[in-house]
Formats: sequence, C-alpha cells, structure tokens
Amino acid sequence: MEHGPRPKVAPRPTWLPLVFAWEVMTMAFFTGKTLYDGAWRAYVNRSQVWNAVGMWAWLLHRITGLALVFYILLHILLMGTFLLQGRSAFDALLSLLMGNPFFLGLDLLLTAAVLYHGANGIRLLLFDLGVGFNRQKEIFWTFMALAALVYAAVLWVMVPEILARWR
Amino acid sequence: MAALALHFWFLHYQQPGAIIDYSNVAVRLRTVLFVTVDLSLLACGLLHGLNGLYQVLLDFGLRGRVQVWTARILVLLGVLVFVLGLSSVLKFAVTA
Repeated sequence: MEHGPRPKVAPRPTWLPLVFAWEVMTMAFFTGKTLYDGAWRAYVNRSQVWNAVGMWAWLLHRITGLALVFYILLHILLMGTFLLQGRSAFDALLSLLMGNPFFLGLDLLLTAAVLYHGANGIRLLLFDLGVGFNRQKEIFWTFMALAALVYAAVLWVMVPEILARWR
Repeated sequence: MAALALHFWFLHYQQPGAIIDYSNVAVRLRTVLFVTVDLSLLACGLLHGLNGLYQVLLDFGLRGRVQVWTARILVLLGVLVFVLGLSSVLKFAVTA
C-alpha cells in the first residue's frame, strides 16, 4: 500500500543518547531539586488521568478478566478430568470444593469478579453500539449499583452457609 | 452471559449449601437444555477469555513471529480444553 514519499528528516546523531545520559547524571548530581520537580510534575500529570473513574474501570476490568481466564482454564481442567475419572473421584473433589469454607470464600471472590467484569462489559457493549455515549459515568455507576445489589443477595445467601461450615 | 447466569444459578444458588455430586451432574447433563447451556458456555467462555488474554499480550507489545505463534498456541490451548470439556459433558449424554 502506497503512503507517498517518506519525509526527509535529519538522521539522529549517535552521540545523542550519550548527551542525554550526561545531562541526566548532571541533573541528578547538581540539581536534585530539578529531578524531584520533574518526578513530581510527572506524577501530578499522570494522576489527573487516574482521578477519573474511567481509568480505574478499565484497570479493574483487565485485572478481573485475567483472573477469570486463569480460573476458567483451571475449572475446566479440574472438572473435566475428575468427571472422566468417575464417581468417587468427582464426589471427593466436589465435597472438598463445595464443603470447605475456604473454597466457598474463594467462590465469593469469583462471584465478585464475574459481576464486576460482566456489568462493566455490558456498559462497554452499549458504548460500542453508541448507546449512552455521553453518559458513561452515570451508566457505569448504575451498573455497579445493580451488580452490588446482586452481590448483596449472594452474600445474604452464602455467608450463613460459610459460617455454618466454619464451626 | 445468559448461559453463565443459568450455570451459576443451578449449580450454586438454587440450593445454597447443597453439595453437588456425580449423580446430580449425570441427571442434569442428560437433558438437552443443560447440555446446550454448558457447551455454549464452554465455547463462549474459552473464546472470550483467550481472545482477551491475546489482546492483553498485544498491549504489552507482542509483535511479529512471537505474535503469530502466541495466537496459534492460544487457539490450540482453546481447542484442547474445549475437547476435554466436550468429552466430559457428552460422556453423560452418550451413556443415557
């Protein structure tokens, strides 16, 4: 595919990285304040992005997504192999996973991850379809409220079960 | 999402505290509805998850031959895990 003639730019001199390194060292040595100011300015500028809920929503979506991928692979491998091994092996595995309060607690973490990733995912789907383009924050918090309600119902049901098994 | 919601409901929250066992699974996986739900969940979950993992790896700068081979490995992993899940689900349908 043709993009037209490549613009002529002066080649970067090979000594430029050395000059840069020298400048950084002199700055660090004689003007610590400059380096500190630079770092502070970088932090302040970056924090303006992280002050918005959108960046946190994206980061949490990614973290929950990765956690769920690893979980789903483990889940399919575990359930698949133990189902194929027969009744006694599968029953032993399930009685551990569904009877032990530690694993029931891990299930609650899984549910939280699924609810967050699903709710934010529906918001992204609507965004891709052009629905609520200008109301992203409101839509995000609405879905989070719905997910929180569902999670509260899950906790209402499961926490007594976990506590009963803990004793 | 619908398949996942059904999966969660029937397995965990319809009878909270009940421990599922082999015969419970066998009864459920003899019905067409649950076989469909479970297989579609298996396919969609693997596709969505492995594609998401691939996108994350691309964001971290995967390029060229490494990118191509990563895609192939992820596809192979997805197919193998799907076949494992399929064989365990169909085991009950076949012996019904």
